[in-house]
Parts: sequence; structure tokens; C-alpha cells
Amino acid sequence: MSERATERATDRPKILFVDDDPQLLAGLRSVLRADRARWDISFAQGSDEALAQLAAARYDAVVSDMRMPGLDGAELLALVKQRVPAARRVILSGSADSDDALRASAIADAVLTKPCPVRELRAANERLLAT
Amino acid sequence: MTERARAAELLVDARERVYARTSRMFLGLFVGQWLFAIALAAVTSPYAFEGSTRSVHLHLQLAIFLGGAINVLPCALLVARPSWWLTRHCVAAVQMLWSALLIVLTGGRIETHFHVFGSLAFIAFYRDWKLLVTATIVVSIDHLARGVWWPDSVYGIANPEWWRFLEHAAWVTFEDVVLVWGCVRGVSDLRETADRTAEIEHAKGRVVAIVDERTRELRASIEQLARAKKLESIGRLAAGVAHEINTPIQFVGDSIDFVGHAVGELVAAASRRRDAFAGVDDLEFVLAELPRALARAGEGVERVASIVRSMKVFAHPDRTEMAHVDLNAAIESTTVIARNEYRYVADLELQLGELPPVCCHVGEINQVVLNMVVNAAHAIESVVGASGSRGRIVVATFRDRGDACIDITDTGAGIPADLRDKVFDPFFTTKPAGKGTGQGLAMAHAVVVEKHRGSLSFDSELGAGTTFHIRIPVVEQLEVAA
Repeated sequence: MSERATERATDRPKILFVDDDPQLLAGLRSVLRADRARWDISFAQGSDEALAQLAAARYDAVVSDMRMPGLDGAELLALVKQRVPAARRVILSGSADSDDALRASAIADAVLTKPCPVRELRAANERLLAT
Repeated sequence: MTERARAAELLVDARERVYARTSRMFLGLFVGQWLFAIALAAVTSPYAFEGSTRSVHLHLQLAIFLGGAINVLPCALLVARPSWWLTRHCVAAVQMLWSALLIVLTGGRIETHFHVFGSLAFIAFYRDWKLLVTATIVVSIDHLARGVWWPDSVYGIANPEWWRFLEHAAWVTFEDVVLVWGCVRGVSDLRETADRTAEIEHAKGRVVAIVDERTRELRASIEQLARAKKLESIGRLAAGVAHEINTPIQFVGDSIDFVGHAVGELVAAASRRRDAFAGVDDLEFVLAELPRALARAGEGVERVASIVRSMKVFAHPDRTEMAHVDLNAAIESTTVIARNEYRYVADLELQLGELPPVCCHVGEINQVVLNMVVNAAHAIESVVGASGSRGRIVVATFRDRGDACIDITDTGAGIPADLRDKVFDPFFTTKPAGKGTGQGLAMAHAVVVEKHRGSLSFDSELGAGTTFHIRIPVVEQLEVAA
């Protein structure tokens, strides 16, 4: 995505948000604008794009939706764990399915549910990036 | 009524019927005997010449007048009180007098004495052996008295032996023995029938009661099933819809949040320039309303989110582990959380009895109790309003056999009868818009009945209040312990 090209590599923690819904990513981008000074935030629409970005840069955290076409959130995070073991893994899911919840909690460091107020999202990232 | 009391009642009824039936027969018999006696006297005792005059024979006069006279009392009694004990004894006595009269009318013919024996058999139809005693006494006195003063009229001869009446009485007694035995047997047959009828009635009553109870249980479980099915389909729908709704809620919320901050920054930046908002003629309103509009939008999103969240509870049985918890402690902390909801309208009293550790999803049970207490507070608020008077909420726990029970009682308005079927339906609410989502009791039902295999019911009296009964089985604890 364009962000990757325009943003310089810095020592700010790099966070990748993955969702198949571009509107959701746009919403996050707008609300996390306030955090641009401390975090280097990127967005990927879907797992394929996420994998491409993960291959190109080193991320400190990946926040992914659960239900996506292709690889779903749990499968994506499993790959993240394999390829970038140091990266924090977060699921941000709108699913009410308890199977999803179980699979998510097995692979993720934190499971957040949509709708998730931005302060909780921030708090989760802060906590995970601090450890 | 006990089976024995009913049997006694049936026996009395049966005996009354026998008395009434026999009395009807005797009424006919008395009239018939009278007519027969008159005819007999008229045929066998014609006019007699007494010198130059002739007069009606004494027998005919006896038949008409004496026969009529002895009939008056028993016939009146038979018509007025056919099954009275005195009527029966009167009938027995008078029937014996008829024997005596007929014997007189036939000039003491020994054949007419057979009437005595026939009459005793008729009297025995009453199945009352005491009547035979009365009859025997009357016939004995009659034979004794007439044997002394008018022997022709009873034995057909002028000089019978003095003990002839004893001979007659002995034969009468012989028949009495047979008939008394018949009466006693007859009554014991009636008693047996009454006992059996009572037994059948009682058994039938029991069967009906059992069928009624089973029918009620079946109906309740059908209703329960229908409700569970409804919740399940709502749950499936909710699960499908939740994901679709949650994503837009997320970005609507995020965008509102962003717009809020952005507008704040822009307004701050622009207000440093004097003519920045020159074209806006109601600037004050716009600047005042902007943050409020954003807050409203945020609240709306939060409301939608909370509905979706509570609907999720129906979606699937939780696979997270149940744990043994001290329900009393959980309830104590829940009521503390709920304090803000009721503190202005009611006092809350905890009556926590002894409970074993209960295996449950404590978070969900807490939510149920919280919903109930909030409902109770709202119910009381609708009664006391702003009057300043206060209602009362009681949360009681106790153990009843295998169940841990939680009763939540309020002194609110009560639930109108026509709404009682609906209170557990999802989205059913009587609260003003924005105050209730109609999820509270439906969710409580899903949690208590479906997830914990417990039961949820309520008693409500209009104007007096409502008690919700939550029961959660504690037996699962044993399986875990084993």
C-alpha cells in the first residue's frame, strides 16, 4: 500500500492493521491519526496484502480481523508467529462465534471485539508493545 | 372427601333409593288391598235380612270404613316422607293389620293366614330387619287379643287352645329368621357396591389428577421448547448479523471520534482568524451544537453496540469453563454495582441463605441478577415516581433440594396479565425508548434455562409487585467432584 512507500523507516513501533473492509481501515486510520507521533501504523486490506507487507518490513505488532476471504485472522497470525515470532498478535473480531473466539485466543496475545472503543485499542497496543 | 366417607355417602343414597322404591310399591299395595277387601266383602258377605229390614253386612262396613281408616296414616306418610324410618315401621304395622282384616273378612280361614307370610316378604323388600320385629309384634298381639275375645275371626273356631297364638308366632318367627338373613345380606350387597363405586370414583379422580398434572407439565415443556427455539433462531440470526453490524459500528465510531477531534482542532485554528466564520450567520449555535451532535452520534452507536452485544449471548452456549462459585458473594458485589439504579427509589435488602458452591458462568449469572435488580428498580420507579416514597427490593437466596434459588422481589407495579406471556420474548419491553432494549429478561432466560439447565419463573400481582424465581441446579457439582 501507499503508506509503506511514503513512510520512512523509524524506530517508532510498527503496527499493521489487517481487515477485508476498506471502510474499517479508513476509520482506524482517521482515529489513530492522533497516535502518528508514537506509532508507525500501516494498513493491509486482506491477508494477501498483509503477507506481502510482512515480507517487506519488520512489524512489532499485527492487529487482524478474524473473518476474511482467503486466510482468516487465526491462520494469518499463525503465519506471523512462524515468520516474525517477536511480533505481537492481536485479533479484532466482530464475530460472535465461539469457535472463532477459541481459535483466536489460541494464537493471539489479545482478542478484542468489535466494536472496540479506540481507547481500548490504544490500551491493548500500549500494553503489548511495552512488554 | 376420603374414599371411606364417599362409600358411606353412597351407601346412604342406595338405601334411600331402596326405601323410596319399596314405599311406592306399598302405596299401591295399600290401595289395592282396600279395593280387594271391599270386593271380597261384597261378594262373600251379601245383604242379610234382619227381620223386615235388610242391612249391609258388617264385613262390608269393616272393609270400607276400617280398611279405609287404617290406610289413612301410612298412605299419608308414604306420600309425604317415603323413606322416613317411622313411615317404614308404620307400613310394617299396618300391613299386619291388613292381614288381620282380611282374615276377619274370610271368617278366620286358615288359608288367609298366608297373607301374613306374603306381607312379611314384602316388608323385607325394605332390607331393614327391624321392620320385621314391629310386624311380628303387631301380628302376635292381634292373634293373642282376638284369640281371647273373638277367636272365630282369627282361627275360624270358637274355642281354640290358649297357646294357638304362640304357634302362629313361632311360624312367623321362622320366616323372620330367613328374611332377617336376607335383609342383612341385601344391605351388605349394597355396602359392597358402594365401597366399589367409591373406590372406582377415587381411582378415576386420581387418574384425572395425574393426567391433568402431566398435561400441565407437557404444556409447560412445549412452551419452554417453543421459547428455546425462538431464542435459538434469534441467536443464529444475531450471530450472523453481529459480525455484519459490528464492523460498520467500529468504523462509524472511529470516524465520529476522529471528526470530533478534527473539528476541535479546526475550530481552534480557525478562531484565531477574525473573519474565519464570516459566512455562518448562526455561528454560536453551530459551535455549541457541534460537540453535542457528535456526542449524540457516539451515544447512538454505543446503544446499537450494546444491543448487539446482548444478542450475542443467545448465539451459542459458552464453551468457556464453568466454575464453582459462591453465588452469595457474587450477588453481593452485583447489587453494589446496581446501587446507582435503585438508590433513589428503593431500599435493597439481601436475605442470603446458605448455598453450596454452584457450578456456573458467574459473569452471566451476575448479568442476570443485575438485569433483574435494574428491572425491579424501574418497576418501583414507575410506581413511586417523583413522590419521594420508596419501594423495596429483596434479593433472597436459599437452597431447595438440588437447586440453588435466587428470588428477586420488588414492590413495583406488577406485570399485567396480558403481558405475562411476553416478558421473556427478545425485544419485548414496556420501557420508554432508550431505557430498555427488551433484551434483559430474554437474556436471563437464555442464561438460566438454556445454559445452566435451570428455571426462571415469576409471580406477579398487579399493584403489589413481582417476584422472579431463578433456580440453578447444583447437582453438576457432584459430577465434577467425582
